[in-house]
Amino acid sequence: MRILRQISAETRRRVLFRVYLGYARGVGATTAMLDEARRRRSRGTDVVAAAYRVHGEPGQALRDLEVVGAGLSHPDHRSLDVEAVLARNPEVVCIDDLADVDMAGRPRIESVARLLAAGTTVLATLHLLSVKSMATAYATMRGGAPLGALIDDTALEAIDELELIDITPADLLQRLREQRVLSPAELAVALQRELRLNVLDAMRESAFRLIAEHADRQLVGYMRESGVTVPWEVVGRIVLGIPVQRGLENRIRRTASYAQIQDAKFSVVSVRTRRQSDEEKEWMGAYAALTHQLGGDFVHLHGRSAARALVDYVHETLATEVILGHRRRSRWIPGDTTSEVIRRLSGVDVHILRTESPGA
Amino acid sequence: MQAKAQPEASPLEPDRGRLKIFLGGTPGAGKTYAMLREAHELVVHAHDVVVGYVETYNRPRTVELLAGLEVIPRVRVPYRGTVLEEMDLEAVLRRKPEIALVDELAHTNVPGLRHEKRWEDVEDLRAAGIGVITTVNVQHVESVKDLVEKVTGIVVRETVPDKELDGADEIQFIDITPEALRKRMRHGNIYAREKVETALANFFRPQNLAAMRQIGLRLVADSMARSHHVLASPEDVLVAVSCDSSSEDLIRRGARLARRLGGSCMVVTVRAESPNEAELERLRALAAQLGSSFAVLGGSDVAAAVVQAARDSSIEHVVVGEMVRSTQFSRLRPSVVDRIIDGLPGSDVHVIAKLVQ
Repeated sequence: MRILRQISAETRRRVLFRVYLGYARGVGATTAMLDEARRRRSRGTDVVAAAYRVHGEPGQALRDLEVVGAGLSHPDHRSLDVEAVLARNPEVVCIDDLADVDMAGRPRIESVARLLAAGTTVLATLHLLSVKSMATAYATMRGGAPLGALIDDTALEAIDELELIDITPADLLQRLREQRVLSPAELAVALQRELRLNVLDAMRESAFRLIAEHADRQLVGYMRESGVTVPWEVVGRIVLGIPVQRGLENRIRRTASYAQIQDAKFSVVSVRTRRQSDEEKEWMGAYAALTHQLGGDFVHLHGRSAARALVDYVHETLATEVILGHRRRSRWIPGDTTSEVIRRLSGVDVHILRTESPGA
Repeated sequence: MQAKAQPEASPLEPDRGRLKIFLGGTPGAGKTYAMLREAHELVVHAHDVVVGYVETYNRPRTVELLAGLEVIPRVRVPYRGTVLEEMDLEAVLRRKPEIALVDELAHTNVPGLRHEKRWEDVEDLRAAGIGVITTVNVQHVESVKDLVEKVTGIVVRETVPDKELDGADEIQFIDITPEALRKRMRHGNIYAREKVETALANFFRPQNLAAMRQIGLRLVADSMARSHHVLASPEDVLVAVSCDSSSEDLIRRGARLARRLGGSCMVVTVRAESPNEAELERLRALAAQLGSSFAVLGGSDVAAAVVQAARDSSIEHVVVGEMVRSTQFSRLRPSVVDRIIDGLPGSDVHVIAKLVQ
C-alpha cells in the first residue's frame, strides 16, 4: 500500500523545479540542462528554451529546441521574457543562470514560482558563486567583483532537485582552453583569480557540501516517511552536554567546528538540577548566545540527574553523538556523569573532549 | 647540477599511468556513459584509447556510445560448467594503448586469472604506463561499506580499498537526484521494464538512493578537504580494537574520522586480548585496505597499553568500542573506557556505540 501511495504521489506531481549547479563557468551545467531538454523533447514533451547564454555555435548548442519568442532562430543569448513563456505555456521551460536578471531587471529566479504555479516544469542552472553565502565566502579568495545578481540561500529550499555538475579542475582548465568559453583576455584574468587551482578545488568542495546539505533535507524527509527511528551517521546530529560552570566557550567553539567538519548539526544542552544563581544564569545566557552565533541550538533541560536527562534527550532527538568535557575530578568515582552517560546510552557515540592546555 | 634535471624515469620503467575514476553515488547514475563520452572526446583529440572492459547492460544509449571505439576482445574463462567473460589483461598489456577504459573497479575476477580483483589488474596496467579510466559506485568503497549496509540494509560483497581512490589522479562524481534516477528507470533506460517496479520498491527506494548519494558527496568532499588542507593542522587517530565483532566497524570509523581530520589512522590491539591469529590477520588486512597502520601491543593491561601508545605518538583522537553493558557490581569500579579517558586528558576519546542490529 505504501509503495502504491508513493508511486501515485510521484506520477501526480509532474511539475517540478530542477537545478543544475556548477562550481565555475564552463563546467557544463548549461549543456546538461539542454541535453535533458532534448531528451524530454524526444519523448514527446513540449519543451522550450527561454533564457540562456551559449558559447560557440548557438544552432549547435540549441539544436532541436524551440526558443521562446525567437521561433527557430538561435541567438547566442536571450533574456527571460516571463510573459512570453506564460503565453506560450509549455510543459517544460529551460532557464539558464537563475541569478541573472530578466527583461524587467529582476533576478530570473523570482519568475520561477509563477511558472511552476502555471504548471510548467522548470529546468535551470545556477553558479555556485551566485549563492549569497558562497559569494561572500569567496569574495576575497577569488578577487574581483561579484558575478552579478545574487540569490538568497533560502531560495534554494524551493528547488526540488539540485544536481551537481562535476568536473575535475584539471579537466575544466583544459576545456576552457579548447572550447574558448572565455575570450583569451577574460581567461588570462580569470586564471589569476577564480580559476587558480586551489580556488577551484575549494569551490568544488563547497559545491559538494552545498548539494549534500540540500540532499540532507530530502533524506530526512524520506526517513520520516518510512518511519526510521535509529540514528543515522549520514545525517549527523551532535549534542554537547555542559555542566553549570564558567569558561566553557572554547568547548562550544570546538564542538561547532567538529560538527562542521562532520557536516553535522549540533546543539548544546544544559541540565538544571537545582536552583541557579544569577551569576550561573548569566553564564548560561552567554553560552546560548555563542551557540546561536555558531549556528547551533541551545537547550535547557530540568531533571534530578544530569546524566539521565541528557540521555533521554539524546534518545528522543535521534542524536548520533554526544560530546562531553573531561570530568573535573581527577579520579573516577561511582556515579560519575561521564560513565553514567556511556553506560546508559545505547546506539549513540560518546565523545570526550580533551582538556584544553592552559592559554589555548 | 645538470644531472638533476634528468627526465623522470628510465626507458625501462615507464611513468605510471594516470588513473581517473568516475564515482557514482548510485548504480544507474551514468558513470559508464560519462566514461564513454570522455573516451570519444579523447579520440577526437588524437589520443590512443581502447576499451579494456565495458559493461553496457544492453542500455541502448550506452551501447550506442561503444561504436567507434577499439574494443579488446574479452577472455573467456570456463567456470563451474559455464563460461564467463573477463577483461583480457594480457591482451591489453600487449596492445599497450595510451589509455584503457576499465569499467567497474570493484569487480571480482573469475578464479584462474592473474588477479582476484579488477583493481589489481588496473594497477598492473598503470605500472606498465597505461592510463586507466574506470568507474565505481560509492557503495563499493571499503571505508563506507558498513555505512551503506547500515542505512540501506543491502549487503555489499565487493569492495575497492580506499588507497586505490586516494591514489587516483582524478575523481569525478556523477550525480543524480533520487527522483531523476527513478524516473530514468521508469523509462526503461536502466533495467528491463519487467524488473523496474521490483527494483523501485527495493534497492532503488528514494531513501536508499538519497542515503548513498549523500555518502558519496561527503566522501568526495572529505577527500578534497584532505588534499587542500583546509584544516589548520591535521589530527591523528588511534583505534583500539579487541578482535570482537565490532572491530571492523571501529576500524572503518577511525579511518573516516582520520580522513576528515586530515591525519593518519593507527589501529592497535593488545596481545593478551587477541589470541586468534587468523582474526588478527583479517583486521590487519582491513586496516591496510583503508590505508591505516596496524600494531599489536604487548602487556596484559588493555587500558594502560592503549594510554601509553596514544601518549607515545601524541595522538589527538582515540577511538574505542563501547564495552559490554555493566552490571550493578561493576559500576563500583572504573571500566577500561573510564581508565582510558582518565589516562588521556590531552586527547579526545570517542566511545563508539555497538551497532544496533
